Amino acid sequence: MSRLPPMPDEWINRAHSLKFCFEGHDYVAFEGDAISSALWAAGVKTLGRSFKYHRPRGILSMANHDVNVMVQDGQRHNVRGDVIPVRAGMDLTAVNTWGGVQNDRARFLDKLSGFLPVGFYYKAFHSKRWFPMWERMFRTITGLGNLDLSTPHIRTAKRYDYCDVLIIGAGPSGLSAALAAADAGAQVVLVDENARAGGSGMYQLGADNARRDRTHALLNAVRQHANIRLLESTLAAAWYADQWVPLIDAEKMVKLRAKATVVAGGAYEQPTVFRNNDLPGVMLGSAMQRLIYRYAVHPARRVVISAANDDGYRLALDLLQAGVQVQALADLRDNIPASAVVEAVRQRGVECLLRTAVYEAHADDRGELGAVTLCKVRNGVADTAGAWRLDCDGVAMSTGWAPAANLLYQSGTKMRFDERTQQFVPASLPEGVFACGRVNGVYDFDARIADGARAGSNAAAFALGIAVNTPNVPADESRPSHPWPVIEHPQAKNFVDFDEDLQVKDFANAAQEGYDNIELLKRYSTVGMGPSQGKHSNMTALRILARLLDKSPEQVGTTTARPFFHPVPMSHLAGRGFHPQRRSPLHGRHAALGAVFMPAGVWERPEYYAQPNKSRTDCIHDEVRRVRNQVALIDVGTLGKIEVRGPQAAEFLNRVYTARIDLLKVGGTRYAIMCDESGVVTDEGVIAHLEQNVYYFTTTTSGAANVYREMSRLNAEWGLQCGIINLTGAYASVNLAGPESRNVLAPLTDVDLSSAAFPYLAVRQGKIAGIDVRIMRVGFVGEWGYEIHVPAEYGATLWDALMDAGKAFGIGPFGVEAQRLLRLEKGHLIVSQDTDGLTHPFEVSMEWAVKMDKPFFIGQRSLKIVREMPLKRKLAGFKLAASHSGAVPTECHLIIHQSEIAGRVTSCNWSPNLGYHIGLAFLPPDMCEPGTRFQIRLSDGSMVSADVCATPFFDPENLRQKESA
Amino acid sequence: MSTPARVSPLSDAQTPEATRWIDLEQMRVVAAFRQELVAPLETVAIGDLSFRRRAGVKGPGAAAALNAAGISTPPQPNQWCISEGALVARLGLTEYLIEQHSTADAVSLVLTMAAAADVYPVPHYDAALIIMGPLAADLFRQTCSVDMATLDAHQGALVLTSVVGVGATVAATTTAAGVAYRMWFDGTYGSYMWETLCEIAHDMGGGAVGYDSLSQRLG
Repeated sequence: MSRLPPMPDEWINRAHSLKFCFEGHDYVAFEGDAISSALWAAGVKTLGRSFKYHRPRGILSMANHDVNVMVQDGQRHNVRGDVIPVRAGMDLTAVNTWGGVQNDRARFLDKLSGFLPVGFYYKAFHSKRWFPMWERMFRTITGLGNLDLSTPHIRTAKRYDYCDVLIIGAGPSGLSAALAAADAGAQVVLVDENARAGGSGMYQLGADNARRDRTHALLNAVRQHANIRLLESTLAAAWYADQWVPLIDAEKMVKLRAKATVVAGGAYEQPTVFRNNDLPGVMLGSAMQRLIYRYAVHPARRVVISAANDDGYRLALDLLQAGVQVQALADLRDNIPASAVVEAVRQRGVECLLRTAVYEAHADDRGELGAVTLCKVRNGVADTAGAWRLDCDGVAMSTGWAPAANLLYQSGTKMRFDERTQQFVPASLPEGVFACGRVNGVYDFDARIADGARAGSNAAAFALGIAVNTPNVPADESRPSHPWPVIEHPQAKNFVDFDEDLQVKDFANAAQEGYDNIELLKRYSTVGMGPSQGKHSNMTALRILARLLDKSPEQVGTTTARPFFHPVPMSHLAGRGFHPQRRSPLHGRHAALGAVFMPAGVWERPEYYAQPNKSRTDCIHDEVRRVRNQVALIDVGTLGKIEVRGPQAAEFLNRVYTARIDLLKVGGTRYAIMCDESGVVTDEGVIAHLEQNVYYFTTTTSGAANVYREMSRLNAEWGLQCGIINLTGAYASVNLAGPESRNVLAPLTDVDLSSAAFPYLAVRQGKIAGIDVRIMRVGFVGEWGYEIHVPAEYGATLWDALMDAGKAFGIGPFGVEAQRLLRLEKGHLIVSQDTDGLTHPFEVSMEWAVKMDKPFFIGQRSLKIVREMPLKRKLAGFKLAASHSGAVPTECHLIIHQSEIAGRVTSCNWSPNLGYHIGLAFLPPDMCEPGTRFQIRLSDGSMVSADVCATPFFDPENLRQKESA
Repeated sequence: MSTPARVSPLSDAQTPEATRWIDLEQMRVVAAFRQELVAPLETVAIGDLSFRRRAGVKGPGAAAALNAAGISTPPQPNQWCISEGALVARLGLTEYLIEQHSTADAVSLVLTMAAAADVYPVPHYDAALIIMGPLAADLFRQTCSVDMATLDAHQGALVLTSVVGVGATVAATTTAAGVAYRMWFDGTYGSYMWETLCEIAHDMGGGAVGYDSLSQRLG
């Protein structure tokens, strides 16, 4: 092929040449050239191989749907050659080949097509025995491009945008719609996936410059309109509720929210189905026009046109003007409606053949198009009696269209099949959604512009709530699509789906096997499931199924169009990652002390504090010893912290928690658990009665948000006179624990710390280091200790004061792991670690915390029932032999009894204070007697013996929290 | 005993880039950041105003209690107004945030309001930012689904929304330098929010500004 003389609106810059490499050969392109256009101009016609049979393929659409011309560009794969511009230095290889396009070793698969029937994948995997072999084979053979796992994360911006009216498609109807909407006062965003706006108005000309001039005039008016933002190279890839539309450009995804949307996306030209319709050189008529007008490339020297509409004749005129010889125009129709364009073609001497089809295409010695066989068609069936052969290097397919209605379907538009246009058109559009142009079934050029103005005006009226004069749309009698563009052939290879190499016979076989519903057919045959998502195959597949079932296309219906309707780079979807992370107000202090952080939900918490030349375990055990023997400080600010105030605060908490909160005196605290309606333990914490009608309580770290949300809901439902305030982020809190904790705190506070004045489980308000504080004497880790809560902005100051005061007593920080071990020594459970989504209080020995005599609490009714039923399991303590060495049980390791699963471990750790491993496990009640021996199966299948023992493991009399200790 | 020091929830994130500090309202505040240029104020600048004291009140009797204390309240939810030297933001039907802007101590007034039925004080020790500059609304377009450009600063518009995935209250305000956005959010997200917004602002040619530059623009 070669370049044409300069075209008026060509996309290439002839002043700037670029060198690139394809399949090991060097080529030269012009700036603005697509990869395919540059190669075609260089005479390269075989640009890729098909997915299944590895057949040679060339240009099909030049419209971003040529899935057989996808190339690997370094770490970028599946780059679409028909639209992606050439960059200098590109080193491209076609995807899906073994050894390159020309010498693809997998081309033998074409010869084996008889052994690869429709549904082959399903049939192959039917056998369990052969499954692994097929899986390996398919993984080896298939795949589009090579994924380089070292590809760096591409950070793309994420962005929101807004407008009154979004118009999708900047062809003649879209441009017209934009102007009408903008003239009515709407702020308009007009998007087009192509590099330049104008759509078919710039390349489907029929050698008629008036069309281009008209489109130019619209485009110039759009560019100059203050209310219009024109975004080229931008794909509206989906439609979501409330008019959210993701706009994809080369760099990023923009989530645009419009008040009204006009879909002016046009239509996809559809291939004619005949034998070997996939040979390089056979392409859509519109592809030839794009090559001519956008890239100034000869699509072929001698072309045969397969036509069934005026567009085929318009194409003939464009080809003739470009100097291409039109060998014949084979029109499938029985008669041709008189029109100026048909007459013009005839006057140019083109042989226009009625009731004529391309029966078969023939390959030359390079496997590319060399000739066709033409024949007559009668009632949709080829009559090969008088078939004749014609040499050509190009076949243009112009027999019909399918609306680009994907976004309309996603918006909830009800579509109907229109017999005249032979396509689905909107029957009922959702509020705020409008359609115009070809997608609306309007094909005449002037009618499309008028239809755009109508839709644009209506969209503006909807968006702005104004009245507008809606222009009339002239009648359009176009018949753009042939009802049966399918020529059957006994030797098949008449392709319907170029992505998946599906032939006409595949559909017949699928229907015969019972997959005769359009959704089933899609899944079984994989039609429309390739990278082009059925844009060039779904309509024909639907027609074939309709004919097989003797139904109308309307009765067969369409498949669901899901977002995104066109592939989008994963980096665009990921965008800039927003992963909210919470840090305690003391985070900087922890970091300075060498904390090793661990994730705890959205929080970062110190797991332990690293010490030079010490292992993780040694560091944790040091922290544990410090708590037991001296004094240590832990940040517990991640606990949920909620306040309930008001005359009915106690009543509210009484209903939410299982304990008797109404009996809790001012200055006292109480450990309490919370259940859901089924009696399952959902959360736990300490409730402090601060003042009359004021309660302050903690929740688990992971449960804070849920508890607050549920409490807010319940408060709204019950209408009690109280207010709920979430202070989780507003307060910092620390736990000062250990035998020396009182000595550390005493000089800093005005609160009387004597046991009489501040007993265990009391709460006091006062000052520490001049900071207003709330102090609770609680003992999750089983030592004398104080949980201190302060406004978050004073958290670091409090920490510093305590650490300073504690120096003389050997104070140090302790982390989450040490705390877990300390609480395990005390047999204290952690909700969601030692409980699960079915655990009720009686299974974890919490009967004492459940006051069934209360009038009501959430879960009470279920617990009344549960209480009467025998327990199926119980949380019990266990220990391993002191001499145990080797692997240690961890959470979820199974308890095996008489070869059956009897329970599972929930916690297990080495206790430096006891000198052996301790743990908690769910066991059958009859196995919970102390001294009972059971077996735990480890991950490697080995068994470990354990003995049930009573809890607490450490300080069972709780003497360390009493004055006498 | 000396007055205890307050620490900004953004302090950990700001410290590595801070070059000079000042004390405001007992809080250590960054006066200037390393490599702080004029550029942020010409594009998008992010400043920390967490030092301003805040308090809140909610409940059916909240508005009446505030009014009785001489503090005016906005007539509609999602609005703010200035009263008694404080910004009074109405966050919902019956919830208010008060941020002290002058020496008049509206916050203390709120926190010490006599206990009354249906009036519940809400302590606020959250993070507070100001985002200003010609590209401020553009910064939100990369971080929030609400179109901030539609918030009328002169009407005292505010919105409760999500910014970079974190719940936040954003108010459109006017400063000597033009429209600026105030933002309040849970301080435990402070480091994440500060680092994320500064990174995006940096990509836009802007970034963090210390209080020295900020105070000149705030007027």
